[in-house]
Amino acid sequence: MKQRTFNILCLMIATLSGVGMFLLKYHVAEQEKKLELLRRQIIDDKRELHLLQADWAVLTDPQHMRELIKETNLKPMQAKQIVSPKELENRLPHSSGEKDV
Amino acid sequence: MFRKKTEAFYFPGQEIPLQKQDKWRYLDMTTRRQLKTAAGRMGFIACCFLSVYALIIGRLFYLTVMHYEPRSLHMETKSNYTLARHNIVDRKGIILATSLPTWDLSVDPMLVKGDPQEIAAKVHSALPDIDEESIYNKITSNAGFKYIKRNLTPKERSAINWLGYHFLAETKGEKRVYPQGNLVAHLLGGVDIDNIGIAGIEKAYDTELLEKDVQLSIDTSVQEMTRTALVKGIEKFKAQGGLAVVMDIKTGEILSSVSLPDYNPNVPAGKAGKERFNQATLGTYEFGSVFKLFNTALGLDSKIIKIDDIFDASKPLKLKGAKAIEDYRGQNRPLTVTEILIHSSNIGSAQIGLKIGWENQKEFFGRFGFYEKLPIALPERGQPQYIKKEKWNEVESSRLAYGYGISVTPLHLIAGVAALVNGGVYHAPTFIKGGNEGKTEMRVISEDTSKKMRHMMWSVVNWDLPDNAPIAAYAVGGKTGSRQTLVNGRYVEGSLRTSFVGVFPMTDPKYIVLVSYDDPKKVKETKMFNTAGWNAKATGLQIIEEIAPYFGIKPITELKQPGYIERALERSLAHKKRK
Repeated sequence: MKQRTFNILCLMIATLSGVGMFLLKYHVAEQEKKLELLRRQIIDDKRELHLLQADWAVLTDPQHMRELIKETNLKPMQAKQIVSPKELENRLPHSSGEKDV
Repeated sequence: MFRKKTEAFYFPGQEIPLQKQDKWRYLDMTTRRQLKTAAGRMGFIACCFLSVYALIIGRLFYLTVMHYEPRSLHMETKSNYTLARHNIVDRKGIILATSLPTWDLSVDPMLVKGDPQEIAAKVHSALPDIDEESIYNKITSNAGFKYIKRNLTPKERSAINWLGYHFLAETKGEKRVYPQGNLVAHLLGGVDIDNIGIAGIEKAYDTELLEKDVQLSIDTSVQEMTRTALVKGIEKFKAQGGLAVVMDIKTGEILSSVSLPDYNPNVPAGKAGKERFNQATLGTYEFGSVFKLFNTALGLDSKIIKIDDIFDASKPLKLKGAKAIEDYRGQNRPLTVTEILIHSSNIGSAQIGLKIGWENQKEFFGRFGFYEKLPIALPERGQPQYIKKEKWNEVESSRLAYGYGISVTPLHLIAGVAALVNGGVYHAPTFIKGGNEGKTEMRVISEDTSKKMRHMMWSVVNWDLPDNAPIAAYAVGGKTGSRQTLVNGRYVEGSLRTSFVGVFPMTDPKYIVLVSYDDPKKVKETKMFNTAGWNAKATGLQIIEEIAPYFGIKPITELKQPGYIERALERSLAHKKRK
């Protein structure tokens, strides 16, 4: 009687393990599939990013920018446009000694 | 549980179990034989089954335990997007060269079914730039594989797919593109149809580019400013071409290298013309008076001359067996060493050269690598040309003193002048960001000589510069040089190569600029002169004026204060500024 119980128990464990492993395997397969899809998406995104970077390099080509800038009044900065804080002090309205009260 | 079960026995001997053969004791011989045969057959069949099972179990064990391979659901398991050839980027990471994924269209002529004429016409309608006849020839050829077109555009690919021909195959390919167009063309070089580097950085770093990005020392913005100024200059001075190089004086990194005329690397190369020639690295030129800087530095460094020494430049210098040495727009008076540089006196320089001696000159030029190709990775490296060292004598020595008889590349020159003013340390030029890091420094002149050179070069540029000129605030120092152009071994009368090398700010030199024009003409804007002071220097100063604010270098307004520059240059050897 005892031996039979033991055998049944073993059989149940084996069956349960089998079913469990089967489920686990399919779950893992499912996850792997998701992972693969994510990887593919990453690859697609990277490809897209790479193309956009190349696009950006074309659009920001300084020669191209210089052409575009002709439409505006912007010009490269010149030496005379840079002043030291000391020089700036002379140009301020307070430099004559008057003080706001 | 595992106890052996015993049965009751009723007469002696019953408990003794019979042996196997004993079971058949009471059977007749025929039955026995039949039973034995049956048992043998049963055993044989069982063995067969068992061995099949054993085989299956063994195979399963081998596959699942010993030779386990993780399952892969798809063909593509790469987790990274990688292209076969990596990018070339500038010092700020801006893409200069990149590869774009494309498709190559090929045909297997053996599989072609149908009327080739009709197929060729349809393929031609999808790819209008490919000649119909060439398509026909390819699909009817005997080869097993023929490319119809490399690098299809998405539109072309879609049109081909719509045709639905099974014998047309698409394979993934790559196309090298240069988003900046002409801007860095010479330096980048190019690749062939199979993406193998054939020139420039593409060739020099062919293997590295298969593994990682290559970062250059070039600054795209500086490159553009330099190129624009040079293009304008060539137009204005009606020059045949020109070059401009900007270098970081303390690291030897080349920030800009322009050679004009240039070309668009995105357009397939036709016949190699003048525009494919990189003047900055491959061309060797006699830079004329710019070489006076080396002559003077050698004299001062070897203490053969002093900065206040006076040389008589009042009349042409005659040497035995040589043409008399004359000055271009000479001062016809005795000149100090600084004045010799300011007025670019050939007579004065030749005298310094004679005093120094050709043996010293020979050794000194060697320190700057003027006899060898530069140790740069580019395949386009020019070999300097000079008079055979055995033939050096007094006459040659006097000529070398003002830059005749030695041709070097612009990079040789710029690296050499940089060493004269940066404190006396030579850095070989490099096109790679951080390319000189960790390299041992090579001292070529003393710090004191370098200080004197800085001051003299500042005087050369500033002696006739108005105080209120915006460029004066950048304390630029430099030297010009004009030399007849050499074509097929002969000097061309009236045709000059004019050069200017400028360093800024002289109070703490950071950058060096070299501008050189090939055959600029005498034009109205330059009062019908075509020497370097009128063209190369003008462009050089214009470039400095534009790039200095970009580098964040502040104008030194205190320069107007009397004696400031002298104090800044830490000197007691001030040359009186002449106007």
